[in-house]
Amino acid sequence: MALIPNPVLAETAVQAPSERVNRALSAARIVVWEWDLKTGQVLYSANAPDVLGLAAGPSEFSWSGIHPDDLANLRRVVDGAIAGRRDYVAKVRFIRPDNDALRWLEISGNVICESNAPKKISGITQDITDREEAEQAISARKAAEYELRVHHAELESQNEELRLARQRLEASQARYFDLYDLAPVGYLTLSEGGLIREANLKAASLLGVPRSSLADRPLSRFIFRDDSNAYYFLIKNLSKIGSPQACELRMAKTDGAPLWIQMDATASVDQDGTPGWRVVISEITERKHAEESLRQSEENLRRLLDQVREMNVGLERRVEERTRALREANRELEAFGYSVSHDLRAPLRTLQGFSQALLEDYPAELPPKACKYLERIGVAAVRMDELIQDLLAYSRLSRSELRLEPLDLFGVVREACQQLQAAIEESRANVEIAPLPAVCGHHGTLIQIFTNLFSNSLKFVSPGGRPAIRVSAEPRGALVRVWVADNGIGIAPEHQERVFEVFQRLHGLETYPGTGIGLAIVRRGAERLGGAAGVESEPGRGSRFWVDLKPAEDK
Amino acid sequence: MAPVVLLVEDNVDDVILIERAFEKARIVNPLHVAGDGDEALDYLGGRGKYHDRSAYPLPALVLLDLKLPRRSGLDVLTWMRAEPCIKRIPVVVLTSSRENVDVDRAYELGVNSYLCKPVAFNALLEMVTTLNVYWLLLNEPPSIMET
Repeated sequence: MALIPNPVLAETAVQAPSERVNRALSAARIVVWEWDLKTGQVLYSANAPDVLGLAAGPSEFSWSGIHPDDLANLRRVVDGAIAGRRDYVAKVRFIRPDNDALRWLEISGNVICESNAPKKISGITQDITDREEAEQAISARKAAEYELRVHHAELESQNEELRLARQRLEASQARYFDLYDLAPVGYLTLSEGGLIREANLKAASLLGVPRSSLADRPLSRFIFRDDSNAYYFLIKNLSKIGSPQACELRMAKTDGAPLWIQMDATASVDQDGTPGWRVVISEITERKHAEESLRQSEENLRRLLDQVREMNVGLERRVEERTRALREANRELEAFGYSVSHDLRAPLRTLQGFSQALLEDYPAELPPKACKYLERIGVAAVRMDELIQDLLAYSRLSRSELRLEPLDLFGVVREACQQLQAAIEESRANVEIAPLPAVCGHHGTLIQIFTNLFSNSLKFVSPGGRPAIRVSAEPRGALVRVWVADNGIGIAPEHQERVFEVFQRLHGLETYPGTGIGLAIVRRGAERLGGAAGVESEPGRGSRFWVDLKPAEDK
Repeated sequence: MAPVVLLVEDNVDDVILIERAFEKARIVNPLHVAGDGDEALDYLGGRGKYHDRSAYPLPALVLLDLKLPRRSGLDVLTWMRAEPCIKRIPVVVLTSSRENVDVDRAYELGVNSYLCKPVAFNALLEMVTTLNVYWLLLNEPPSIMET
């Protein structure tokens, strides 16, 4: 658009341009005007009402119609042009007074001077709304194009990302496929009807078939016949309950060999919404074998245990029988002892009593030899009675139950001495008793032990000798050792054990009378009291008999 | 007349020896002998041939052997201790048995003394002498009159 006013046009507009020019101006939406700065009159070309909605012809100049937002700028431009005597061009928005339509106007002015003073401005105003709108549309399209380009670039970059993601996905999928195929357990995907849709390599190798041949075959085909109930139960529970199910069953390989399997099944839904099952099968044949051998060894153990128990019962029965037999034997022994003490002694009394009666009643009629014989009969009877009494005492010691209690040993030993008082006095023996501790024992048995030991010491002295007995005690391990030492004839080492046996005698009856049971009673008695008895001796140098007893506090 | 002593003894030899010892010890009390437990019960109960109490009066002392045919000495003792009046009569067991069970059982049943017959006659004589002194002379007898 030319900014320099066309003098021709300006002249023409003000000076009524031709019809042809008018048509052209209207077509170009141009109004020609002239503003007299002195009078303030403005003159518009005839097409002003049509183009701008303003009255044609001369009128008072006014800023009215100019958009308030653009007015200040326009006035500054116009004032600047007048002051500088320059031309100006301004673009403003304009509200038509006739229809209030908003239009874009381009106003061009040419300041005309007279004598170097601004006199008037002539110019044109063109309605450029169409152009403006087109330009706006273009710039809008340009903006849109730019946005589109940006968007495209974004899309491109997104696309790249997506491509990378897909690559990664593919890689990961490949990895998962590897994991899937090479997993140590078999994976199977089944349709809801139980047909195999997918299987990993392990599943195929477990079942002994190529993977390709598994597709669309029912899994039930691979279940060992006897265990098909377990499989159907699993499937039924899976459909009914929905939670993951597990069971142990045997599957059959294509060659028919059974295979122990742990089967875990879960319900699943495919991408396309088809329900199905995922089944994991792991081989547990070895575990089953181990379990089986464990079960068998447990069974064996149980059988063994039963046998042991049976044997025990048998053993207990035998022990019971033996005990009963022993008790029976003991009773018989008691009965035997009873009749011995009663019946065996009665004839002895008769022998002794009547031989003595003969001696007393018929002393004159009997020759001296007969008297001597009768005496011997009597002595033999008394001796046999002693034998029986000692034997009974010995057997009673073995049989009867002894209740042990704490006893004052010194008192017991003194009591035993008192029982033998007559013999002690007769032999003019010297008995010395050192202090003795309390022991755990049985009164009657201890009396028997010490009277027997003392009798022994009183008896076995050299002819004409005067017995000396010393009783003392000392601790011996957990026991108390009681010594009974004498000054008698002593016992040779080879006989020292024999003297404690029943009926063992070292001397003839004529030298040292006795039954040969006394020391056996000592030893048995000591044993029954939880102790022992023995002797230390040398021939000619006396004997030291010892009895080990439990101390009183050891009850 | 001195009160009677009843000897319950089945062994004739022993009876003779005890009678001899009574004689030697100069015991004035008459000695009646019952040969077994049943006879002892007859005598004490005044039954059968012993119904005449004047001829067979209740004894002041019973010498009782334990080992008797049929009714044992302990049976006799049991019976005696259950009888109203007879239970007061002192009973001395005179037997060969020294078995503890017998001794304890006899005391449980209420025997007054327990003696073992010695084999040597002199010892028997000594024992009978002591018996006489203690049970027949020193001891204050219970009243045993029948009601």
